[in-house]
Amino acid sequence: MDGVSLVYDGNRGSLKALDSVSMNIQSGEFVSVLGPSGCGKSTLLRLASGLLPASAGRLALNGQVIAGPRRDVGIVFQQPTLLPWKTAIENVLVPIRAMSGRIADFTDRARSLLRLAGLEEFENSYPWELSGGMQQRVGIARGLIHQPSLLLMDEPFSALDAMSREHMMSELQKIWMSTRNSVLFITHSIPEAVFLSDRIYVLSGRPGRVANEFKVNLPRPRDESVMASVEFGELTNRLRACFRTSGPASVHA
Amino acid sequence: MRKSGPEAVLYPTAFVVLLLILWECAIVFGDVPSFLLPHVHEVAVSLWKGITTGVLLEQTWATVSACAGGYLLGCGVAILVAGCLAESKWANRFFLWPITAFQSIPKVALAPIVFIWFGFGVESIVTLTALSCFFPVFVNTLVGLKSVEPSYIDLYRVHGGGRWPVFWQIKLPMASSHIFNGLQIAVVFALIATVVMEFFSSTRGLGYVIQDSANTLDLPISFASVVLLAAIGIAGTMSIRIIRRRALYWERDREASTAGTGH
Repeated sequence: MDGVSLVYDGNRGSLKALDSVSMNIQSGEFVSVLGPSGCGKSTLLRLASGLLPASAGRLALNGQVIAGPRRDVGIVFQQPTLLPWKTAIENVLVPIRAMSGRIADFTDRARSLLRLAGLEEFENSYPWELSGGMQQRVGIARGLIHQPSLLLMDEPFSALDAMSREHMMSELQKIWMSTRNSVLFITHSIPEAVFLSDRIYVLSGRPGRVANEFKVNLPRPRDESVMASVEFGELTNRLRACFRTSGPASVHA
Repeated sequence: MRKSGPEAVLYPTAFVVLLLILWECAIVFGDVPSFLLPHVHEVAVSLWKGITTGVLLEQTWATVSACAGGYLLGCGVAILVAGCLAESKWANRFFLWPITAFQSIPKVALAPIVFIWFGFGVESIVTLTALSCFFPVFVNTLVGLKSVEPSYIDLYRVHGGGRWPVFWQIKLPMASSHIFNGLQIAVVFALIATVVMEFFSSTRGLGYVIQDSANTLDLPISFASVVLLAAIGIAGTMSIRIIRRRALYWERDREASTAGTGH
């Protein structure tokens, strides 16, 4: 992603959502984008998936410019967005169906992803029979079904209560450590970003710009005890401070 | 409604019995002349004779077939047109306003014109019934198709799902609850239109029977026909409800699970 901008042209003039945002994700890296609400985080994700064309700048995945919807990205939305008439395993296979792929070739993978997400007993359950956290784990499995080069996650835990959110963080880490996908994780929660990421970009609000970049060097696998560690506390404090100072006027890269 | 225990049958039955008692009381104590309000047993006898001799049954079938034909035609066209309007911006701009304007016309007002165009046969009845069914189904389908959560569509589009798969596999099933709401309302609209048309056509159907028997003050037959019309209406509504519960199984089970936590 290099110098990407996006201008929305609305009825009441244009709105600049993102302003020359540049970031990169290495293969197998877990990168978070942290920012206040309304800073264009979700816009960033729609750009990266090719659903929205950029007004300026260039986005590339594996050296190919992103020009339209990309099959080799997976998306996890804020809401689980499962189809209520399909069972868990059928929902995991929805991207294959959308790609008009052969369902039979992917059922084994779907099953193993559900097992990885701790849902092997629920593969034939319907979404309404699952809790919010379980539904979102089906959503994560669905995002990974076609072995995407990049998994995009748009505040996937924001719709969950605080308890299941912490549980889901460890679950996601577990899934990620066994699949080692590149992940672009969008969030407004500092602890979430620190716990999960290799690197964190901080976005400032309106229009969104990259205000800062942090590396997280905590050893993996991380568990709850990491959250109590000195390094964890130090990093979250630095991020918090960064939020406080990063207005549009004081961008320090 | 969803409980099928004895209570579900008991209360409505009690209500009907009470109503019939009040009816008889009005005749006996209220001195209502029997040519204005026939005895309950007279209506029952007319109904029984009409069914056993097949006279009323034949007319019931005439009403049901015309009504069902118009219903299927009207609902089918409505879903098709709503689908086109939801999918095409051009069609939406071109047709939405005229269709909405047409909605404000009471469909019954068109009856005489329809008779001139299609004659006094079943074609006219079917046409007006179809026109009456069109709007509730059209509006509900359009709302349903347009209110699909965009992220569901993104989910398909990002994986290269084209317009047709998105429509058939996401939008249409998502809109089905709305569509069925329209289909349920349309049942009642259809029956009204059919009966009104039968009043005019004066050759066939229960509407004709009511008109004809009222002219000769043979009210037991009129009431018997009204009872049969009520039965048709109930049967129609029930059928749509049963089809809905079968087809939209996820809706039923979600209701069941939320009802379970509610108590």
